[in-house]
Amino acid sequence: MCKNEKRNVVYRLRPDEYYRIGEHESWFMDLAERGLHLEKMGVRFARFQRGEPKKMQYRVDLFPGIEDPLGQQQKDFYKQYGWEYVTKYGKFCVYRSPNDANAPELHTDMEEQAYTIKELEKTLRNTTLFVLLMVALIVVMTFLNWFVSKTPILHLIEGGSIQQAFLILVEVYIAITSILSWFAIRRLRNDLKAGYPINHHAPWKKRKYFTFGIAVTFTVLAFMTCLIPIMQMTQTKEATLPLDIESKIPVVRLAEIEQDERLERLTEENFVKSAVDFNNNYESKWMLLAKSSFESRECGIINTEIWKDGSGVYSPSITCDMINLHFKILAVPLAKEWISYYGRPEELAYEGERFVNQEDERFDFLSVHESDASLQICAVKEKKVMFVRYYGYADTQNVINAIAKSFKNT
Amino acid sequence: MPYAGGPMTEAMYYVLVALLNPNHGYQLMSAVTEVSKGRVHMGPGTLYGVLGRMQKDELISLSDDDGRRKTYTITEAGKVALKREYERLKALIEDGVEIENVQE
Repeated sequence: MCKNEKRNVVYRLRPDEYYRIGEHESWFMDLAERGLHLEKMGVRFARFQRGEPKKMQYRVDLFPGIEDPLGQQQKDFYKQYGWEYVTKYGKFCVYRSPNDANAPELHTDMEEQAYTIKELEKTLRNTTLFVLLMVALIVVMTFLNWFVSKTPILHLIEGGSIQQAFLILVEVYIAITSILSWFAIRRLRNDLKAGYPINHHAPWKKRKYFTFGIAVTFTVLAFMTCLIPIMQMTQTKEATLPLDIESKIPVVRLAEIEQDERLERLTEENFVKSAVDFNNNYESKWMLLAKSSFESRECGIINTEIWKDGSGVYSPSITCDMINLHFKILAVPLAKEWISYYGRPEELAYEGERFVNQEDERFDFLSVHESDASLQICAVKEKKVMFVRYYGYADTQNVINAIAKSFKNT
Repeated sequence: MPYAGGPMTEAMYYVLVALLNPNHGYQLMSAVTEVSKGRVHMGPGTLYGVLGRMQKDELISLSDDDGRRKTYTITEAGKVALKREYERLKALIEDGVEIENVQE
């Protein structure tokens, strides 16, 4: 293609509903009158060649079936009567003829034309039924997943539920467009059977921009559904906890609550992978509805002390979950969900032991579960939620103070 | 669904009538206009569609195909179907003969 020809190529947003034959024909004719002559139909755009404005007749016809797989016979046949083949899109092909050529109308028998779209209607019906079945399966699976999930609020904060909701919306949109295309073709066929010809001058403007808006919205939604797992994968950081307890990681540190100089870090070879000590590590995760989120685990040992039950050298450990949310409204529900998740009756050491809410002006919500050497604390302050599980003999108040300090520094 | 008897479309009927004399696609259009005494002007889309459909239903067949020009002819099954349709249309006319006396 020479430069001059390239300059004359114009792209225009095409009507979204490919099955609205009359609107397409009318659009091509209107643009031809403005000097834009159709060359090719793309997914979203149609390519035109700029030339002399000309009154043209455009007709969209069904691409032939297996008896004429390349459509060559149809092209040759129509050409004899003055109709030039332009391009093909999906199951349709476009023909044109200048007004002054007085080419005979392509279809003169509506009932016969109805036969030409019979196969298309059947294909669209089967596709729609298949799409509906798939969408129904996905929707049922998603809902089951929500019901089975023991931490639905956390799932929401992480972005999983929102991603699934977007996905369902996109799938419902696909199902609706599929149903609409099937119904439109069925209606067209019935109209033709009843003798109503296609309106070659059907108005196209309003609908074109409306459906484009909807298509763009759902394309963005579909893109966002992909974005959430990408962010989750790329923005997650895992590392060994620094020995310095004054580091900026907003979790409760073992040394802070043990307050014993003899405490050493307990590192086991089996737990060191890819230079990360999984006995003493933290993970910072990207969550859609949180500013930051940290999960840490720390194990220590005091070689000169043993557990009270004589089971071995005293080795306290702590795990800590901390989420700094975007919305305060989710903080207490998340705390309560963690309590019911981590504090399930079967997980508690002794029957009858439950989380007990405590009043503390430093927190909006504070709940503590204590038993022999195990301590679980869930605390909320504004948008910050922390859940600490600790095994050891440190004083409960030490842990609560450490949580308050961590919240203050976040 | 293949043709299983019953009313034909106008296009089917006229193409079958025109093909009582083998003819090729391009000339068929004028042949149809001729046998309908100028009443029916069949479009190329309609003609292309009806030829393909009737060939599939074995009502017509290709008697000659030199690549550029295809000559179609009516088959025995096509003749039987056309005769039946003719009888049916004739019966329709006879049954409605009273309409001649209706004042518009």
